[in-house]
Amino acid sequence: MKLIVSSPPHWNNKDSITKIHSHLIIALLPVLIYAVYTYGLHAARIISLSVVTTIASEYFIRKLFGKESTITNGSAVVIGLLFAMLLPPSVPYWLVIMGAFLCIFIGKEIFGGLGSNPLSPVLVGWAITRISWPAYYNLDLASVNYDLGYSFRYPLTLLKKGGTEFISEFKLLDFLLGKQVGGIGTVAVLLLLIGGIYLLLRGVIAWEIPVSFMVGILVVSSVFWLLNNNQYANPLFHLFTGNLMLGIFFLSTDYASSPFNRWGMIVFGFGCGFLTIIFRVWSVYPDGVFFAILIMNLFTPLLDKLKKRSKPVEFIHIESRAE
Amino acid sequence: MDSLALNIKEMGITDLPDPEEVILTLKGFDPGSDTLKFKEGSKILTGEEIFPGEHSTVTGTLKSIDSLQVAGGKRVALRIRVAEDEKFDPAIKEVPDFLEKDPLEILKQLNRCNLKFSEKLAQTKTVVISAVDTEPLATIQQQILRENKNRILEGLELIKFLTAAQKVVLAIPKNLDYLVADIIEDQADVFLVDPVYPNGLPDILMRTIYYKLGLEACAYLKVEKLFGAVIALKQGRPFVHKVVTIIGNKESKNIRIRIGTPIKNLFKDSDIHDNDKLILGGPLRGDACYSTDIPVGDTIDLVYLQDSSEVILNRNQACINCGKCVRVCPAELDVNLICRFSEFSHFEECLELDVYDCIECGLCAYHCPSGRSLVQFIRLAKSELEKIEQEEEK
Repeated sequence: MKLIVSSPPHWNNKDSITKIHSHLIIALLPVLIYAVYTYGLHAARIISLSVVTTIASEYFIRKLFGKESTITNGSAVVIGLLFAMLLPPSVPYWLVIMGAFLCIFIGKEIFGGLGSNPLSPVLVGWAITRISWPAYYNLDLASVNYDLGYSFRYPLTLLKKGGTEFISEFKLLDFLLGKQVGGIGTVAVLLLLIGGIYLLLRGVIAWEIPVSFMVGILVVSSVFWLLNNNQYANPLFHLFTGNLMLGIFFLSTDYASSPFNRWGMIVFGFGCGFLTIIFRVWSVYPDGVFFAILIMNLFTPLLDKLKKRSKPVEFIHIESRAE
Repeated sequence: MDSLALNIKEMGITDLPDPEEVILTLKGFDPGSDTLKFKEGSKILTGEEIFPGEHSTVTGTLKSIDSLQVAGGKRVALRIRVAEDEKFDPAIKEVPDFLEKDPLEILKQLNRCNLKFSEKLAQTKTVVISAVDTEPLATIQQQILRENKNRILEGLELIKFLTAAQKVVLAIPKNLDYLVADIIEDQADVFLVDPVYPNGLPDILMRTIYYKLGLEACAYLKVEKLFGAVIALKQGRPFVHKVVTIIGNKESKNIRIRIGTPIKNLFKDSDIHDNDKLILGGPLRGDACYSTDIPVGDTIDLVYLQDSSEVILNRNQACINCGKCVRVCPAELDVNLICRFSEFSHFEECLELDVYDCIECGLCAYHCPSGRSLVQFIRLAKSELEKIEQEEEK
């Protein structure tokens, strides 16, 4: 009789990397459908191009590096989807391909693949293209040929230029329902929120980073708002505009580039929120969410040390033969 | 079946007839320097001392002396053919009035009864008696408490007498508190434990109690051994029977077996198939056996036959740094780092990360989405570090 022998444990909760990424794709699906519904084939073009590029580049890069293929674990698909969601509807095809390739190459594979990336791979690709070709990311220009029945001026640019007076035309409910200009997948705030809650319920992400991120946004923006409510917008305006909701649930919670002990996560999330508002108030960029996350990513190894261990307790086994 | 909740269902205990042959493995016996007072063919009585700390669990004839590879390493193994009529070692006497005797004398008597109680016992101030089963699926500690409550209450007296402990804590699963509803404060403090793995493991249980109640100089004992001690003193019976939960493909049951019974006597031959996994101990900490000819020792609470369809094979994909292992680790270790260092033979770094504090509960590997055999990496680091230490001593 042949018996199987292995080290314990002999049970597993049957989780897998593919399952985690499937949950992420399911959580993103409503947002993607909304993007295609709003921007039609432009959105479909960006999404499919981006996903195809990420999968192909991961396949060929790993082949080139002589490593086993990992495209079936779904990570390339999730990166492709997330990168596409950050782009305005009018970006040219080569920018999509360029960015998606950089996400995989510089963001992930160059460091050894999934799990070894010090920064969020999606944001690496985004940051390089955003800084290299800023004109394509100018949301006011990008959406000049659209008329979807709501204001197509970017609320955060308006806020930066003219304070709260300029944004009085916007309603928070419209933001929540996705009636604002932005990246194709960043505007549907309510759907992103639902996707995020799905991930929390499935245990894919932990509550600490999203919650402390939101708290950071609300607290810091409240301070500015209370100081001068003519110049600075109210906290809920900040929470529902720009790329924030996508950043809170999907980008700041990237496993390898965020801390995993409780206090590290809370400081990380709060830091993201704090820096986001600081960038929105004082930087040249209207929305600083992604830069905030990238900067906090760099603190992750440090924050992982924010851990206090309770030492094991010494005791004796009365029956000394027990292990 | 893969839930981490501890089983709290009542499951009666039945007796298993004695096997034809019992295998006793001698821990700490070095065939190079130690000599055995028995030869092949000698008669052995139940409870007779074979080697300091090791007593025979049956009456019979010594059939052969050989070595056996078990989870703890290679051991000298005695195969004893069981005789029909059982005779106890004459040194074992009943001491029904143990409370009036000398505690040291009682300890010696317990030792003769195959209950090797620690000599440090006198220094302990708090004793924790645990009726919480250590692993999911096992139900024996609680079942012994259910069936023999009065004996256990006598045992609490015994423990107080042996240790001069100021406090005795009885730990039991939360849902079974009705069992001990009538225990008064004089007898023991009842400590309720959430019945989820790993709360029943000695290290975790003792830490929880330590941080909740702030007790000092603690000692730990399972209910089963306490019950065994009372029976040994009141009836003059050595501790030679062990209750184990048997989880098979078709049925699960609690049975009382002779310590040293080979696993093949616990299952029908037709129950075990190729590519099944036979686990001594629980699903999270147990050791898989390579043969059915391995005896069930006195620390085993559960024998689990895992069907080939449920066997999980290690995938050992690269770590994705999800941090699930770090968050579930009850010892609060940086499991991901330790295992990566161990995988690439950086054992000194593992030492800096307190790898020795790992209690090998298996929760990290249970939750790992990459299917990495994390416990194996930790064991590797520990054993390699021990080798390095030994070499440095030389």
